[in-house]
Amino acid sequence: MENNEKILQILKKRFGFDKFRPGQKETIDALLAGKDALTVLPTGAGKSLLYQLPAYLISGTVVIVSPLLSLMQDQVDRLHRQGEKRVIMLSGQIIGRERANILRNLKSFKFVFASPEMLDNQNVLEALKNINVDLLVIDEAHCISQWGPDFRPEYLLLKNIRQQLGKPATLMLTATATPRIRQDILAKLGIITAQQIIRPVDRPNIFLAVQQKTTQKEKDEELLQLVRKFDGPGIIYFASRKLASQMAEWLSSQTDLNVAAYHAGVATIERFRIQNQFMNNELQVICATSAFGMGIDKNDVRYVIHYHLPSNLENYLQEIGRAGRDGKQSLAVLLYANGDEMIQRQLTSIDIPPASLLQQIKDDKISSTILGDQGALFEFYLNHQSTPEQIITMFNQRKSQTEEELQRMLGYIKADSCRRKYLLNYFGETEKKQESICCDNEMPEWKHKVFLPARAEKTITQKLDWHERLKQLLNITEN
Amino acid sequence: MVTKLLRFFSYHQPRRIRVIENTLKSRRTVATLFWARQYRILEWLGAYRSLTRQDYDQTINGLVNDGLLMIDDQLQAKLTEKGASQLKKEESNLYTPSFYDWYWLANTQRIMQRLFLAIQVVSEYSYGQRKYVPLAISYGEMLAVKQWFRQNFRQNIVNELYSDLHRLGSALENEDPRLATDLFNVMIGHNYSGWTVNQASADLNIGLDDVQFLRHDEMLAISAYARNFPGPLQQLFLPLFNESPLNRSAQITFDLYVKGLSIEQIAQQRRLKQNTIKEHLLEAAVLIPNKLNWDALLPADKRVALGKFYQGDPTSWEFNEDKATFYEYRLYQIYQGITDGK
Repeated sequence: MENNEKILQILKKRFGFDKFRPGQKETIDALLAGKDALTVLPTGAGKSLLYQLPAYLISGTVVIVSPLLSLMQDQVDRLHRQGEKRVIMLSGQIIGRERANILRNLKSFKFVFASPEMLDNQNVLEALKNINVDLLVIDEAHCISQWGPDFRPEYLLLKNIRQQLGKPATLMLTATATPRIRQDILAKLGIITAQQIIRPVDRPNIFLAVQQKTTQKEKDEELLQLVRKFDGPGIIYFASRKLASQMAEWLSSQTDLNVAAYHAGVATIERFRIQNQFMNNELQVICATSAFGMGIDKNDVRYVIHYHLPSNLENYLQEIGRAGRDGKQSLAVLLYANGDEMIQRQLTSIDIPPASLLQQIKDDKISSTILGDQGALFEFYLNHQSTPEQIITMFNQRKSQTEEELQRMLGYIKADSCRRKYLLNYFGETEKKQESICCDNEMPEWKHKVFLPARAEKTITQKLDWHERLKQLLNITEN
Repeated sequence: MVTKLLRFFSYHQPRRIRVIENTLKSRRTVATLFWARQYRILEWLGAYRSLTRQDYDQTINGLVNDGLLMIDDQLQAKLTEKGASQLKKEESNLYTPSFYDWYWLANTQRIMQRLFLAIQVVSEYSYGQRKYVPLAISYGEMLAVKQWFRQNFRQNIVNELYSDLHRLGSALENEDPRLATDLFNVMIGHNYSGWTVNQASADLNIGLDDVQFLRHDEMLAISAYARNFPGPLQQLFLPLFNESPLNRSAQITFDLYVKGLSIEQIAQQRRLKQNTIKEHLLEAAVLIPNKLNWDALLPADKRVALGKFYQGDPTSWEFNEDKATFYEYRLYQIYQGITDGK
């Protein structure tokens, strides 16, 4: 291709890489040729580059759709870190005159981030139609599939939105998608002809282990042992915010490590500090909740421990994928005590209201707030031409599917042969490269045999009195 | 350790739990302001704006479950004996604010957002760094900081800001060294992401929740400073300052009232309901009682008449519509509350 050299130049200049990683070049070529692409790359394989690089070779704007504010913020931060300032995130927090202002000047942004609901807003869509959208990126594209665990009904709006934008070249991105879900993504977006670029989901440098315990107390002991032995940097996932905070405190008191909790209950500024301190090796361990998207872009995370099992293997794979992005030996341990799955059942359960109630909400006789947290979800369906009966059938299906997913997760925990094979099998991949260091079932005494690369030196922030701190902040050198 | 929110309750006086919540969050109604004044927590108005209902209720339930607090069916809470002795034990560790008299000056959350981003931007600029992740704050505040920086960066902003902050720091250090230490350690700058709440709590040896109140104090201090001293900080914050404890509309009403206009005339001129005007005057009565002419507002003979019926602690009265209008009743209640308080 003629602009190959140009592409490599940008790769070097903007992103600091000499060569592409698997799957990147094919995707970028397809997009620059004006084709649509569905790209499945494992977590940490450089997905953002796929749209960031082409952005510098096309004249128009790139619109990126993402399901969560926190995920968008991570992408925005990443672009800022690269020195790119023409970035805007259209969020519900920007309202009134500010929003009108932004929409009027939308042309001045190269990257526009938005949730699907935001794009469904008529003013926003009109503003986008008036500028030149050359590339539409659908991040976490598996959210469009009802077969997937992260289904978000608003994603179904994207087919129409894309058409209204004049069908720009579209990039569908995901880290986890079984073949069935891939087909579903293409069908739901009406882009059957998209080029599919699929890389194996396997991350051979992550050792897989499960520790079954009988009581929570034993789990705590095990966790402490692991954290003491493998000194990080590490991430520990919990099912609840409260526990994440409590355990962060407990681990700090039991070790000489710096541990912090990181979840949606932590204030934004605090999260900003914690992220930076973790990146800087001032913190060694983060206690997080699974529900919370965390775009910590740290290459040398050595282990991911799950204190509670996630609700499905998709999430598990995505979360352990934060370990070992540098390709070096890393570790994923799942702690399990009998009955832990009940926590997940509780978290994922949805009370399905009776059809008569749904009908009354549809007729505006009752507010959807009566349905609690799920009200908005049911209202969405009602507003988008579903009958109460259809909705109930759908949710019943969803329920049995969630249970099925949980059973597969439990299957992984209880597996007595190779865990990696089990995982890959689930994602429709049969081939596994034979690794010498693979999983605990193949190496029972792994705790003594798996050696993780040494942690970077702990950064100790110098204690300064306020005069010195102020001078340092503003780079004042005189006395 | 300090038990969360315990300090806002009393052993003798039952206190409405929603009033305390609304005070901390600065949800201003005349009723909230009145009761806050009676509880002597008025200057805590807006000290904890980020407090959520869920968090607040959980904390209150926790205090009740621990036997430190009891709540009656009117949602009024009192410390139990255990609670009172716990509070006494903790009292010496509680953070005592220095600048809360300025509680009305500004929304400290907005001050903090502007301050942190502004310092970060100038810090990175002073190191010649252009590639960094700016603190994500609300879009409006971000634009304000951007504009401020654009207007100033040519004029030696680094040094001017430094001397501004240095003067502030010295003043804070005199008042309470923890204010200065925390303020400059919590800022975000080049290669420095600042103290988390936990780190501040450990380093300054104050309770986790008191860190919030300390930060509020710092923001009021920096606001009071910037109000008086011209410089980059004043430029940054000036649009955020309130002119008085009254909200803007109440202030307009108050000014007209002082000029001698009657409630009817003010209502007519401002095209507002008379009840709204009365609310404004009640707000003034609670917040700036000394600036009101009480003899005009609630004539002495009216006070004597009401005094025959309403006696004892004003917080225990109940409104009786046969004796006076609610407006008069509330005015008298405020009047008595203030004279009792003195």
